[in-house]
Amino acid sequence: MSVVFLVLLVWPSPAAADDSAKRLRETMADIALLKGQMTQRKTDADAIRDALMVQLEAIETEARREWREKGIDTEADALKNPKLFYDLMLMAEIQAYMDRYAQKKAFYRVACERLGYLHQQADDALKIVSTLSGMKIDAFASQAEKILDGYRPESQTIVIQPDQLIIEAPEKMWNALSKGK
Amino acid sequence: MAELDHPEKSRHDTSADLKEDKLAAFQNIIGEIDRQTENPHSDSPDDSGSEETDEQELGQEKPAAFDQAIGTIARKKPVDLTDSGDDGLDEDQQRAFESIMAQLEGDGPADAGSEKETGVVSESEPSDDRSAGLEKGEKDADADDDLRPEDAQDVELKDDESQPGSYDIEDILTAITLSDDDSSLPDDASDDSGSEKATVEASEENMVDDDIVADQKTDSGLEPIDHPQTETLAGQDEETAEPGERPRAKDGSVDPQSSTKPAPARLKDRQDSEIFRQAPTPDNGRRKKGVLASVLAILFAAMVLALGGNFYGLFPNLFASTPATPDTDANDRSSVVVVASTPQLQKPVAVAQSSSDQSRLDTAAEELDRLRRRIIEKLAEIGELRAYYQAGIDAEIQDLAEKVRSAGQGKIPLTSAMADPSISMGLSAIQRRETYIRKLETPQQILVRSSEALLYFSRRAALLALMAGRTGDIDIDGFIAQTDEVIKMHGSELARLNIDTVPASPRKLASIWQDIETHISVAAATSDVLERVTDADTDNAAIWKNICDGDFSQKHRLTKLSLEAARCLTEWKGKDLFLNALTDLSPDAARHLSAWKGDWLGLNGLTELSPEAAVHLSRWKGKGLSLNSLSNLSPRLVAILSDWQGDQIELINLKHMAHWENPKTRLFLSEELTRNLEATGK
Repeated sequence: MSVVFLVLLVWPSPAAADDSAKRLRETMADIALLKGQMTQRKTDADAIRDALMVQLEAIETEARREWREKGIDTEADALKNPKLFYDLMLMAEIQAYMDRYAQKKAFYRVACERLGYLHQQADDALKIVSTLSGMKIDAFASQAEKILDGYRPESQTIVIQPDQLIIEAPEKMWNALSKGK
Repeated sequence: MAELDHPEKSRHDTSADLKEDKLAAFQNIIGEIDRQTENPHSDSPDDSGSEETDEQELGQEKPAAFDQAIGTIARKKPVDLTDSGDDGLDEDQQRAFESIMAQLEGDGPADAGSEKETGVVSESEPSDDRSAGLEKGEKDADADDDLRPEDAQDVELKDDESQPGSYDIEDILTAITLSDDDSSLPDDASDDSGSEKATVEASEENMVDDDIVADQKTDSGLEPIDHPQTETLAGQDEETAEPGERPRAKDGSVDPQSSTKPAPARLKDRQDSEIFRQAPTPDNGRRKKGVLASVLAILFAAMVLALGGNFYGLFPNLFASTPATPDTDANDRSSVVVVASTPQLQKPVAVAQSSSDQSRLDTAAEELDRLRRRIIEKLAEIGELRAYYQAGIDAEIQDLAEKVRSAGQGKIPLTSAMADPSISMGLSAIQRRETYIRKLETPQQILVRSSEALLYFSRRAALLALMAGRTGDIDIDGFIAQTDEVIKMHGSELARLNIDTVPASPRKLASIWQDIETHISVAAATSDVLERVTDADTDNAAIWKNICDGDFSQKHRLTKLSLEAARCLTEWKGKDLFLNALTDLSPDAARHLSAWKGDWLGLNGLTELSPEAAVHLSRWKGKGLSLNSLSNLSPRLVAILSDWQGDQIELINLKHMAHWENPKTRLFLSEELTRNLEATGK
């Protein structure tokens, strides 16, 4: 009788296993939700970059036409021409935004991959918890939560920090344009 | 006792219609109160023996009898007759109140028992004090069949536990009252855990409780005849019901003696007030009405806040610059908590923000474009003005050259030429107009730069709008501020445009005269050559004759058009009529040409078109009209040609264009002009 009692005492409680499974499922749901949001942000970044590319091409075409029509040869003349000057400014700005959105797209891609991995890890753990008992998931859960917390600020909207954009000077843009780059 | 003088006086004022027995009853009440004041701890354990005896003798029916007596007296009062219309509502209000309070408090029967005991004890004491003096009133009450519902309710409160809502409120009131008592009766307070519990529970409802107490006191004050003491006491208690003293009612731990009972006289008053709070009185209905009104007011305020919250959610822009109210802050905080666990809830907020940003950017872009349109219109005006001056100079030079040629004097020195007033004035006109043309260059350049700057900002607004919808940290505010500055700067530039400050020295008359002499000699030589070439290459007269004979094969070579030839051209049966070598078209010739029944008329050699000729062309019934050598069209000419009802008109060489008023006719313009017009929205 006492042996049975001891066995029951030592035997992991089914309630604890249920709690672990529940916690893992919640974590997986959080991961899936966040991954979906990050995927959406990646799509957004891609779409914005494409739209900016269209704008850049249109402005560049206009600048080249102005350059040809006005017979502009030198950088000084180019910067004196208001249309060309503002076109170069705008091109530099668009280029900077495009670069930043390309960075963000890469960031979201990596984030999605990491979240996918995390989801897989949680799924593996869940299978074990559902089959066996006594697996400790605290470390994993806290680690996953840290990762989710790290990604959450960027999950709602894309954060590009415009004040840290590097926008080229019009002179440099003119050099690139005149060299046909 | 000083406080009692006043109610006595007021009682005198209003007691003329009272019977002697009622007055005697009130005298008894006052006597009881006085005894109570002299021995404020009468309900202490030491004195409890006699009171318990009284309680046993009187039983629990005495307070009800007291209520009935007071109710009877109250109904006989003229003052109360004015309120009798409300009596019918009391029962409904009572029910509604009980229902609301039951919902608000979610009271449990477990608390009711202990609180009931407290309520019974607290209610019995004052009623015992009063019962002896109100025997007469009790008799009146017994004689009165028309018991007011609230009186009956108060009687039932002692026995009936099936009314938890009102019972809880009574308990809360009791708790508040006991908290006053506790200050003077520390032993009772420490022993009476039930009342403490009621006090703690009641603290959550302190707003309602205070309102209840205040209403009760106010209502007490409305019936000075029935309760002469309460007139003053109610007034005093109203003072104690001020917001600053509410915490005392909440937690009975604060020593109320220091704040509410500074003098023995007030102690007595307070006890009277307590009596009227505890004893069932005819004011119960009105008191509960007050409570109901308070509850309804709170519910109404909650609804207003909720509606306000919805309104804020629907129209966040309206509140963008207003500081958040505490309620909205609370909502925000709660939403933050929710968002932390479910991030997807943040999305609508972000979308709302971005749509607001986009509308702001759209508005900014519209303002920029509007100003840019004005600038381009001004540019076109300046261009037309310069062209006008240039045309005047050309005409003047031709006139002067003609004069010199007609004089046949050959080269004339400037001094001699200036002797002729028409030549000197002509030269001055040329000089003035040339100066104007040069001076106009500066504002034109300013406007071109402004136009491009505004276009740049407008495009930036479009770019930011493109990104702001899905990017969180675009500095829209900064851009809008920058845009406002730009609009302000270029707008003021546009308003301040003038040529007075532009430095431009007029060209010397000798230089102008020299140019005219050069023009005369070159023109003479050129005209000789041209005449010879024209005669050799084109025999207009022969072509005219052929046309009128039905041979239209050489019509495209015509450089001039006689009226007869123009009339004969109307016989041309082809769909197209191209007279692109024609450099001049008289109004009469245009009138004849307008009778031609074809589809396409090409007059691409015309560099100028008179308004009269344009009027005739606008009446032509064809489909396409080409005027590709015209570089300038005055607004008048544009208006005339806009009347033409054809399908399309070509003006490829046009540099400026006023507003085209005929949307039916398609315009074919140069790429540059088309861009400009699209940018300005014309």
